[in-house]
Amino acid sequence: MNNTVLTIEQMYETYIDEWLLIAYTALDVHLNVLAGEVIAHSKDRDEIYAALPECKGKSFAIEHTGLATSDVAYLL
Amino acid sequence: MIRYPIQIYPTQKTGNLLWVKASVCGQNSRTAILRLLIDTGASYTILPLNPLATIGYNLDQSTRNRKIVTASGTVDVPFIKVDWLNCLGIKMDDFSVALYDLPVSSRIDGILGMDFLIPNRAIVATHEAEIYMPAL
Repeated sequence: MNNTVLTIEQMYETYIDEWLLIAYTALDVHLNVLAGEVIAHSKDRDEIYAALPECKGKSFAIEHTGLATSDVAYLL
Repeated sequence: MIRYPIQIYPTQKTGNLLWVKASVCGQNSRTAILRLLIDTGASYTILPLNPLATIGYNLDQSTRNRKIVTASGTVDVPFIKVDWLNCLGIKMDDFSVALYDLPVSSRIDGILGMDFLIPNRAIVATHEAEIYMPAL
């Protein structure tokens, strides 16, 4: 990935229904990312976790840009 | 009846689920921001392994292990103390968390459990998708 800083709106437009690993540059008071660099993106969360070493030395956030799938329910 | 001033925090609502963002501090003040399911059926707060390792925690140095009953059986889970966990406007220092990776299909990274919600007197308003906390 390049070092371009995107707003969260740009991320949602660019990466639809994907997991994002973001080196964030701005947060709001509720810890939502406002802007940052997308380090990795994938449909598979494990690929995002696998990319975490690229964030060594940086603070990061993990986001998902889609809605929960209707065929998945939770019983924890 | 609530007899003290409260602060209202919005949660994210997906279907019947409520979740919030939490930040966890690691070495050199690096933080990881994760998506945690609000789960009043969970005794402990659960965080995934890899993100914590990335911000500098040695996952082999757990303070204890505990058996946790899940929907799919009982698992032996290590616990570590994080420098702090910040969620819903509250920063909990030296907070003990269980290390466990939730299934890949989940859209969350971990669970915010009763060990966080009770001491902070959190009130979960499910329909409103809000959490009420005592105003500091």
